[in-house]
Amino acid sequence: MANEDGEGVSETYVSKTVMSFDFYSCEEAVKRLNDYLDRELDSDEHADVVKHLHICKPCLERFTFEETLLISIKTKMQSRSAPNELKSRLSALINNGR
Amino acid sequence: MIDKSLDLARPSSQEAQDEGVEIATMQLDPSDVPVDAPPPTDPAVFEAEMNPHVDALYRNAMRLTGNSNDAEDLVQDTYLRAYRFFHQYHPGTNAKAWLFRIMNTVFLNDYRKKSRQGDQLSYDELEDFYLYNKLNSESLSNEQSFNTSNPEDIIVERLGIEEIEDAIRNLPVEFRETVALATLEDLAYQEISDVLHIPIGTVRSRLSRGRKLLQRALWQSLGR
Repeated sequence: MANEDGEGVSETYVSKTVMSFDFYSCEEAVKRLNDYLDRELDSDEHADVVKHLHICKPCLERFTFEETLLISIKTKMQSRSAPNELKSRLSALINNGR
Repeated sequence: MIDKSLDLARPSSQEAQDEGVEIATMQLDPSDVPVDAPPPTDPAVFEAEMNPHVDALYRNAMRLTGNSNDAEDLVQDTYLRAYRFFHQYHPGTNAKAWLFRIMNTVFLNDYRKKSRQGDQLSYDELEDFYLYNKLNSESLSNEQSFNTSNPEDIIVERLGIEEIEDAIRNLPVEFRETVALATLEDLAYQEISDVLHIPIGTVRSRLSRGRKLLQRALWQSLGR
């Protein structure tokens, strides 16, 4: 998460600054994690998440980890294929007797 | 192997309801209204369009049924149903999503009672970035020595197909399908909504919770 700790005046200042530049907070970015990873955000929201990741290294590391995890799972699972015997049977079913 | 091709010649009334008005209004029995019967499907055209997705269909069937015998039957039933209704497929749309939608309908009608339900998991204490946090804390405490301290490298090197399959299979079924379709099959949220007949908001909530459950299961298999 972004370092949001701080104290007194500086915390208020940071909060206003972030709002004025329209940056997402960590919470707002994380809320969009899945939509971001699955490319479901519209271009404005996507850009806002990317902007947050540029200024928040902890979130960048976590988002990158999540992306790596999903890609790794997908890549490994796609090595599973249907048995050739099943494929032959399917072909025979629609090419014979119709 | 039971040849169900004859059973698939005409959808039951319940199936017709499930598939919507479009299918419910179709006349598939040649003895009914031959004039309005759809043109015969060219097997070559059908195969060119659908065969690239047979592996994905099989993987999906394995996730749904939990065993290879039922999975092969489910693929066959789905494939034949798709062939029968191929005239309703719109070229240029996502063929895989269309096939998954058919498979889900066939599964709900004919297979669900036999299917293996996922283990019951506790839904509490589901935190964001569960796996990342666990791997980092392990790395810091150094009590469990992984070959590398980088969480991403651990994932790539240590997570095997068996562990991933087990983790997915043990998800409660409603989370399992949503997570798999988004993560493994690249379906858009709207397509998942169509396949599973659930609102898109439900897709999002199941995906959020399901991926957290998946990470917890993966962590457990990594720690074995």
